[in-house]
Amino acid sequence: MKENKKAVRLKLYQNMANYKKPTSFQLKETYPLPPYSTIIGMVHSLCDYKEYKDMEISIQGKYHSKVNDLYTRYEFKNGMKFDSARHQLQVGEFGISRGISTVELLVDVELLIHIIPHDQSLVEEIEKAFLYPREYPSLGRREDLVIIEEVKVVDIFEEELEEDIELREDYIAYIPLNMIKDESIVVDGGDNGIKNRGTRYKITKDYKRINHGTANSPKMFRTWNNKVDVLYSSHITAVEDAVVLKDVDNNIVLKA
Amino acid sequence: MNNYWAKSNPRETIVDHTEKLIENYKVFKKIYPNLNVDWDILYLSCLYHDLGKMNRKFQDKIERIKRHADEIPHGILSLAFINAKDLEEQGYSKERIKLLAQAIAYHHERDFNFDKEMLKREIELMKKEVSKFNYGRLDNIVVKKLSSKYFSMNRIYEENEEHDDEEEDIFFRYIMIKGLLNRIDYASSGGIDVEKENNFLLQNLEENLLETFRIKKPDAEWNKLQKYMIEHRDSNLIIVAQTGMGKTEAGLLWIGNNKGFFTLPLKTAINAMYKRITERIVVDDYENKVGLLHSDIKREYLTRKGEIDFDEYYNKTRQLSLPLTVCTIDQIFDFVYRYRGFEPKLATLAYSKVVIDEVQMYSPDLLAYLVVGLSYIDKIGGKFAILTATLPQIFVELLEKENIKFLKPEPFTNKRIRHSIKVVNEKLNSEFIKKVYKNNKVLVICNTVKEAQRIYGELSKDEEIAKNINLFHSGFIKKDRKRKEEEILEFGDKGKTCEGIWITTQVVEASLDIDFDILVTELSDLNGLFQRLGRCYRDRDWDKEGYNCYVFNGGDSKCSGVGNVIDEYIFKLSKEALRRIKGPITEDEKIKLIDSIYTMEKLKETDYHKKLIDAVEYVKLIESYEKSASEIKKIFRNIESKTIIPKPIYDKCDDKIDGYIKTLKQECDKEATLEERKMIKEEKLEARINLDDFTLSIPLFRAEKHLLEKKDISNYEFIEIFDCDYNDKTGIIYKPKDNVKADSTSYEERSW
Repeated sequence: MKENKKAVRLKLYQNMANYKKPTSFQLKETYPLPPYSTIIGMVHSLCDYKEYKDMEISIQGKYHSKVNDLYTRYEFKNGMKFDSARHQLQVGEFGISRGISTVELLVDVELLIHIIPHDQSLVEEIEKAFLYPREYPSLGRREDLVIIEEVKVVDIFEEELEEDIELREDYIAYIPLNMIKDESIVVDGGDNGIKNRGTRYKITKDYKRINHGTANSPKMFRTWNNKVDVLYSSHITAVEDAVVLKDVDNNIVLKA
Repeated sequence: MNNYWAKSNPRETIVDHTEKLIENYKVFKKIYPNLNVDWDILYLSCLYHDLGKMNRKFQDKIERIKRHADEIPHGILSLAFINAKDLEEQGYSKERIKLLAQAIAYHHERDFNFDKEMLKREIELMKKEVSKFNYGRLDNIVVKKLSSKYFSMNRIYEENEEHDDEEEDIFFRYIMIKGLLNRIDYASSGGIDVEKENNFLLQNLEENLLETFRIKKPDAEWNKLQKYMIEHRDSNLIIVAQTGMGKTEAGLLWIGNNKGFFTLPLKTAINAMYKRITERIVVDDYENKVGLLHSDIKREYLTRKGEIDFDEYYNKTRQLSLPLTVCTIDQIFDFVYRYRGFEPKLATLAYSKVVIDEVQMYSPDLLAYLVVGLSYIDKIGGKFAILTATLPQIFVELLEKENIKFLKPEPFTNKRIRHSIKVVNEKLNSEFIKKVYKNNKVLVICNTVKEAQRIYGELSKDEEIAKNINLFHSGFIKKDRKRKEEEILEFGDKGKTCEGIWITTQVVEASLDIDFDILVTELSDLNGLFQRLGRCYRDRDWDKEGYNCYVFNGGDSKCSGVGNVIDEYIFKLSKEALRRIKGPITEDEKIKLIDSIYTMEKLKETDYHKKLIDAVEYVKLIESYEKSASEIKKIFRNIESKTIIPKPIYDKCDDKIDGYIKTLKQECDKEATLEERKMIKEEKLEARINLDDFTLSIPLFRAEKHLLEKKDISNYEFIEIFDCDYNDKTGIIYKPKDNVKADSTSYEERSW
């Protein structure tokens, strides 16, 4: 037992949600699980943090299916003149086009999330923020409501496993790639001839604000700090003799 | 106690079966003590591989109590017996235990269809059985699900990164263990030795060949080609040598006292070589020394039924247990696709020497298989020698690109002149043939079956000649084909002088030991042409005036088959290269001509080049274990043909044919004794071969129409009657309407 820390463990449910993949526009595609940055954003929002608090996150869960839904899309174009013949909103002399587009939604999302703030004194605060949210919590789009099924502060610690621990068979997770590489986590092979089972993502976690303007007239842009290399997969086993992080209820913590 | 069965029919216990494996393991290790394989892991895999059969469901199956639909493959259950902790304590690394687990789990290639809960339950149940199990080689057996650390339903794939010499690619280490486990297991089940040692070939070559030469010529020695091969036994070789240099002997001398495979492109040639080796070189006890392997060996072996134990000999050959095997490349090189279960082949090649004869005969896709295959053989430790009369330079360049190391000495030729060529700027015509036909054995080679039939038809009109002409191509049913083969071999025998004409397609192009006086041929391409020259004045000097080889290049038009089966551009290049050739030609000149044409540079724009490169890429891009063995068989043989019985044949012999089919359909009585089973098996085999004699394979597009009747042989197999004309002189003649795509027909069927 090397590391002994506390984490806020959440069990969440969402009826429908979209965790938008950047670069998907015509169809707003979704990641299969919320990215780290999305979770971190929710924590910051509920806790009303105005600056970044360092934290590590573990995400596991499942969803039942996917559907496509319509949404209203507003198109902004630099200097586009208002044209009354088109479906546009008028803003002074300029126009904003309004139309429909499609969004991909996950249905019946169930999430098991561990939040490990770097500053352990924040644990209680975060727990409170989820127990008594200051406003309705959402994850993904603003309208993707979250039902908080459980909030619990748990002890987590590193342990050398006596024998394999298999994650729930129906659970998928973002597994940081280094855990796959050092073979502490193994995912079952798929079919013959398929070398790598799972999908590799580079998932965003936190950003810095970078000034591209001058000191007097700043132009601030967000730049992603470090994207996390993960494997998105199911049939996950933490193998014997490996040193892995778990919580008191024998859940493996796949933190990044 | 210990009454756990491993095999039914005849029944054998797990312990007995395992003991057999260990015996074979010892045999194998004794013959190849220096082989680069993890001997300890191989031993353990033999020991553990079948223990999973101890589960109740498997036992019920053997004891005929019940078949359980949810039986878990015993290979997976055997994993529960691997005591990984214990092994690690004994100093086995995780990697090695992984190899052990993989080899055992996949020693049968089956689809897995069970979940982890089922597996756990089954392992729990097995714990009870184990207490009743006793085996001297195993003390304190522990049954426990093997950690995913060592095995997680995945496979070991090829690694793309370069490796230090120290650290070998785990993929190849796995192939060795799994492949050899399979070999040992199959051999033990079949009751044969896993390997027979080659300790005779050199002696046989000396005594049975060299000594007989010396009877005629006391100071006879191996020639310079053969000496070169003897001196470079430890290297990969690419040898260009003219016909008549004793390439076969050179190849055998290179193999020496090692396990060897001798590959040739044509079944006919393979049969001939097998015969030659067993009758002249490896004479005594040949059934333990030399095997024949192609798609039609049962027929060949059956002719020797009197002198050999058919079943055993066949088994030994199929299991690659014999020291020397003569075979087609599809029998061994299909491993390039790394299909599920390919390991035994590649593992065998790791300690074998492979001779590849007549590479110029292979089509681009087969050349591609060779390139990829040779690179694997090289990587896993085997050796190869390419022996050929003419060598497309492009093939060498491709091998170099794969970083394969080999020696390529100057071509072996002598100053003899055997051929005098006359290029005729016309289409092939029968009038010309009539002129050269007098006291001569004339060989006419056409590019397509149709052209051969046309020439034959024209010549047959001449009554005087008609009795002396023969036609031979791929459009004959097996029975006729075999007879024709024998006839042409006899007619073309070196020692025989007579007159007559044989009109053929390139079925005769390679490796057939025939010698004619005059060759009249259409131009296909240079490579093919020089092959064809080899059938004329095979081992004689040409010292007369005039010519013995006439090449018709089609004049202003093209020869038959060009554009369809022969690459148009290569044809053009060949035609041009021949322009300045007239009169006697030396072997060196021939090789130079070939070298000047078949370079990467010259061929860059051709279909040939594109096909070759694409095929290499395609094979490499296929992921290991992606395909099953049966899928590969189809791809590899490029099956675009169909086996049919021509209607006239069926009409004539329907009672026989129906009789054979009936025999094949009959089912074995459940209560039949071993003897009876064996009898029925032999009966069926004979019926199958006899039935096969009436068949012919035709291109698939031909078969689209005019298929008449389907005759079922079993639930999976049938044979069709095809509406066409047929006689044993001209072969198959298609119904006229279909002749639209005429030229693209069978230039020549694939060699198998």
